[in-house]
Amino acid sequence: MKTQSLLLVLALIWGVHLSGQNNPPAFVRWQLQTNAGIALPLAKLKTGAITDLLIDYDDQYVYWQFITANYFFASNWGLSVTIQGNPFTDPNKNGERLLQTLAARYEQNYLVTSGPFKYGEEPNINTNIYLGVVYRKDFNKISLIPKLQIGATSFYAKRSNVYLKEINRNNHLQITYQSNRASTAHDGFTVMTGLTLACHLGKRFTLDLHTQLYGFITQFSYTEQIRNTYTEAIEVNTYDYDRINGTFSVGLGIGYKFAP
Amino acid sequence: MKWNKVLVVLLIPVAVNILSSCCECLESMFFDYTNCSISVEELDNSRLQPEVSSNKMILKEAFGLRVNVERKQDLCHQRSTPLFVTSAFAFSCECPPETVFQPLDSILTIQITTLRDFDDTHLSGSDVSEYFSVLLSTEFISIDEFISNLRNEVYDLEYDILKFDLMLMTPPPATGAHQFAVSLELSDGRVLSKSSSIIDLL
Repeated sequence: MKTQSLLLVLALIWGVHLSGQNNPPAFVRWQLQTNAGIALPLAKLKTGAITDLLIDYDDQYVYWQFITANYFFASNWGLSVTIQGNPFTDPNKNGERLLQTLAARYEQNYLVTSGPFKYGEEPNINTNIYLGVVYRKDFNKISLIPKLQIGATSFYAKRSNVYLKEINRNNHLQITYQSNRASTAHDGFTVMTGLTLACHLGKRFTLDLHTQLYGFITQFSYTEQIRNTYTEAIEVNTYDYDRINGTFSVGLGIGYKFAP
Repeated sequence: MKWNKVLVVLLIPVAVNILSSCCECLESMFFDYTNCSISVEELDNSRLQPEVSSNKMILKEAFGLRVNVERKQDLCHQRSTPLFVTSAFAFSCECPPETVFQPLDSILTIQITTLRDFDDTHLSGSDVSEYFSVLLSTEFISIDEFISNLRNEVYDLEYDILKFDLMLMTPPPATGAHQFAVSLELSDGRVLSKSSSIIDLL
């Protein structure tokens, strides 16, 4: 009975507390931002291995943060979610470059009989999501908004087969590229810090300058298996991608503050 | 309960439609064929893929033989009449092929004989089949494996011509003139045989 009474009192207090919140908060709770800019590598994922051409990721790219939604639970502190698109080079172009690289490697001794299959016309863009905390410090005409987020940098590490025919001989080679992961989809754990300088344009809008630092971890390797289709002799080369990758980005965008 | 019955009654036409559409296939027409003769062409595989060579000088490491088996159609079965459905059109169900050609005979062995001295151990008349492999696109299989994988039932004689490339994977140590004979032993006891032209293996 005591417990029930206590719960009833607490429920009443909570109800009174809720009904008593007629006055809106004195600070902006919701803020939306979008921005685009350039991302430059600090520590590259791709270091020149032939298998780089099978990874749908570019170390340098023009990014677009479709949306960043900040929810401030206190006047300065809030939660932030960002959805960002990172374009990458057309896989078909990279497939052609893979063949050119192999042609250069085997010089004039082999001809390519069949190369990587053609990929579809899907947009060449990886979508990444980051979540974290955001801080806001308002000045007269500007706001400084640092944030710390974690998320995943996503990309595909494709498999591929290339067949080569030796000139003036009956020999054929099959070259297979495959990562050591079961899936071709990869998600690298990412820590992202950013600082936004928001210049107030009237009451609602801001012009934002974004600077961000990304660090993400990749842990996989590619194998290149070269098989003589007659003798079945196999040579295997491994290309390692266990590393921490870093990117710095700077971009420009606009923000919108919802009424307090 | 009443609604269940209504639902069942409403679903009956749908079920009938599905069943009837699956039955509207043409019955397969069965024909027989027989392996009649073979021809042999010399292949030059020095470039991207094997090409029939009119030049009688071919690199020994890029030499091969193309065997074409001529098949003759022999009509022996009449078309069977469908029991319930006489539709002239097939719909989206998995219908059997319209025509099926079944072999009256099958290939039991393929033998390649050298008609000139190949090397010190394979003089004229020796079996050199072990030096050849069948090339399927970019993969090689042995002649025995090729025979065991051979699909004897075909659906179009005009396009399912039996044609295969025997590539010389162990060339002779010396250059010079060579000639080969290809023999196919058939299950009805016949042996189809043909010789290649004399070619200079360089």
